[in-house]
Amino acid sequence: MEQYLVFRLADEHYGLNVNNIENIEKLMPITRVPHTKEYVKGVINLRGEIVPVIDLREKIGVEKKEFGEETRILIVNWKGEFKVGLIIDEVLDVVYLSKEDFDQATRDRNEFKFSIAKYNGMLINVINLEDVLFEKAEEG
Amino acid sequence: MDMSQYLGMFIEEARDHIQSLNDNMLKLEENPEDLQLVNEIFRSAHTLKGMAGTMGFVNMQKLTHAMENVLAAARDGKLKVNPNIMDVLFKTVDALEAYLDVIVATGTEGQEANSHLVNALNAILGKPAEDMALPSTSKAGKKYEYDEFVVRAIERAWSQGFNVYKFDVELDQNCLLKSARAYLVFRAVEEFGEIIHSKPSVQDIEDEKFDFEFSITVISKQPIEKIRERILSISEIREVKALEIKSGEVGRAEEKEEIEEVQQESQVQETVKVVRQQKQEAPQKTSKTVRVDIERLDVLMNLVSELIIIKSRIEGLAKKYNDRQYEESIEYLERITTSLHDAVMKVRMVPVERVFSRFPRMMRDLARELGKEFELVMSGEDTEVDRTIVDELGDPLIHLLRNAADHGIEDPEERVKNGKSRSGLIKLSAYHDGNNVVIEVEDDGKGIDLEKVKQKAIEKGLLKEDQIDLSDQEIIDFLFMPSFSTKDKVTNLSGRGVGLDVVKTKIEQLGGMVEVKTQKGKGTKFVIRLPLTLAIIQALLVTVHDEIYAIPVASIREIVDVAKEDIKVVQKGKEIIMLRNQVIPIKHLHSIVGLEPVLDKKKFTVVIVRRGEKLTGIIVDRLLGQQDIVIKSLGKYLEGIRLISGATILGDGSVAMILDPNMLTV
Repeated sequence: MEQYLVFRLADEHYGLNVNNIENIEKLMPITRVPHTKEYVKGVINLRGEIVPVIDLREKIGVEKKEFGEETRILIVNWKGEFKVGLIIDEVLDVVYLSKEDFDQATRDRNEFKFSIAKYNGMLINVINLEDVLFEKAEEG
Repeated sequence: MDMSQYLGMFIEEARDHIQSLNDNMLKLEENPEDLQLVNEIFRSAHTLKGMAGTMGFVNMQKLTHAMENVLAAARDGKLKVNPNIMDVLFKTVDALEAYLDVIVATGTEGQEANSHLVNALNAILGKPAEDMALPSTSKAGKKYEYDEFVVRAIERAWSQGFNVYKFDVELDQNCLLKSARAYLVFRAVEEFGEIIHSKPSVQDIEDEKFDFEFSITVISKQPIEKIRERILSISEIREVKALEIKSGEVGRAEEKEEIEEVQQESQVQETVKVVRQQKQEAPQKTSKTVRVDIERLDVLMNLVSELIIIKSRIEGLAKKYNDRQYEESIEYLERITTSLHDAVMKVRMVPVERVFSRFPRMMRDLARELGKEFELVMSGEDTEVDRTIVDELGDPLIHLLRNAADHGIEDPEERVKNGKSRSGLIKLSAYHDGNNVVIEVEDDGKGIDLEKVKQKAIEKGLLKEDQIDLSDQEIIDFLFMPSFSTKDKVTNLSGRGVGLDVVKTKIEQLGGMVEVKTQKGKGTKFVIRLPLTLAIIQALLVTVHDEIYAIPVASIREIVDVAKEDIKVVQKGKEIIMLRNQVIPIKHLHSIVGLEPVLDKKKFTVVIVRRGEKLTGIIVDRLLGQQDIVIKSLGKYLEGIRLISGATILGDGSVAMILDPNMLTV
């Protein structure tokens, strides 16, 4: 059993292992960084620390949308090497998922693979953090 | 015993000793007769051996021991050092350094026994290869060895009818407070007789500098079993081995060595004492310098940075109030923060010697490898730079020095033919120049063949054959292009995938720059110019649209207002201005950072930045003013954006990008 944070992007549910998540922040001013990928929105001042922020919608290919009231930044930590903020539409819940909850099937979209988990009638696309943070070889 | 708390100390000290081994061996190579040097080398090796032994690094201990034997023979005049012996010794030092690297990485010395080196060292002394045992177990067939003083006490005891016993006491593995337990043993034994020797020393036992075992030598008239039982009656004693020492079984340890051992031990004790005293009393009484963990300094530096940010913020707020007292307090705060910043910076300054010190050895090996003759002359080793910079300086300098030796200095015969001295000269110097530190690598070799560079550039398609009117500087710039090498043959010195382009990138990352001066037949000089510190700089804040950027003041020549009609367009849309009869190319910061430029203005604000001799004008919307900024890295995720050298947090908490001036120039 592991804990997953369930959040919303557009009208779908996504999940991320909570071990990856350091914090959930409200939207704050983002400073653009020139010459970065489109989905890199810039950097934020996270209590004195500069943290890059990426728009998860853009990164995994859900249509772009204005940020709203419920928009949050998930601060994730990659193996203690760096932190990145992931912009998501809304935090929904934290749930326990066991192996049985995961469907055999995976789902591909724009080079991303999601494991599908079923929970209380919800369909959760579980994200692999590595896929989100790093470019696929063919992309560059 | 848990030695990990001493590991840091061990590593630091071992590094110092290895460095001094290298230094002194280089000197010895030049003056093979200098016994003073041999002595010093011996002492370092000896101390290293002791330290390695204490830490339980057995392989390292064995190797240093073999080395020490060779050095002892040299010291006593039984052996003459020759280049072959020096080679083995140098290799030994390399192996020791390798041990140390493994220890740094893993905390253990690893599996490498380096037996070929031990054998080579033993072979110098004519010992058979398999003889690797330490002398304490092999010497003269005596079972027990003590120094002169103890031996005399033992002999006296016998003559007075006492027995001499040796007890090897082993404490329980779970025993806490080992020293207290040992103390109980001492007291119990003293009921029956007198303790004349203990191993480790009483001091070490008190300091818990022992594993779970120690041994004591006792003179007593009581039967041995009685004493043994008394010791065993103390709780948490696992085993006591009792041995009676009979006359004829005692040998004197080699006096000279033993004395040094004693001296060394007392040195260790002293440092231990110093450490303790520091804990108990005020530090200034015992020592004027303190070794500080780098991480603590970083924390301090970060706090100072935060303070500077909040100071700018308060300054911003202060403008709203017109209270004199308030203003005065702010000024006072400003002064204190500035002094604090300076003080912390000074603490972080380290002499470039830290990098320079390994070069003599490297150059010696290089000369041998290349079959060339040259001398390395270093100056300004005590020039101080922020440690973040010093740490990064090694690789670029290694490359430039190799470059000088490999490409610069000619073969001895060729030099003689050209009327030069047989042996070349490579100079490595460092000095302060205002807010910069300058490091130069200069050789008196053949210089860069500009014609050859040009040919190569044409070959690589970087230059068209008809482009002949290039300045020397422009040709030299080709050298800094990736994968550009004028050497036809790839030796194992060059051709390691690092080129001058890597040197340049590294130096630019550090906020510095590299210049080359070369003269055919006379030599080449690389000049590296670096800021003294990376963490906090003076910057000019500018805006384009609603974005704020910081430009390091150190790279700004001046700021001018230019009327629209004074901006001329030349060659395919390139914009220039004339400033005091100098042509200066112009760029819009907007375009540089990927925004639309504002063109319909009557006047433009142009910030003139310089890189070396080159000037470039940068058009910005507005100047916000100058202030101290704290440079923060963009982090690993965003690394590799060449235009941006970092970010800073402004007084209002917002973030601004810091532009890398090297990337702004055309």
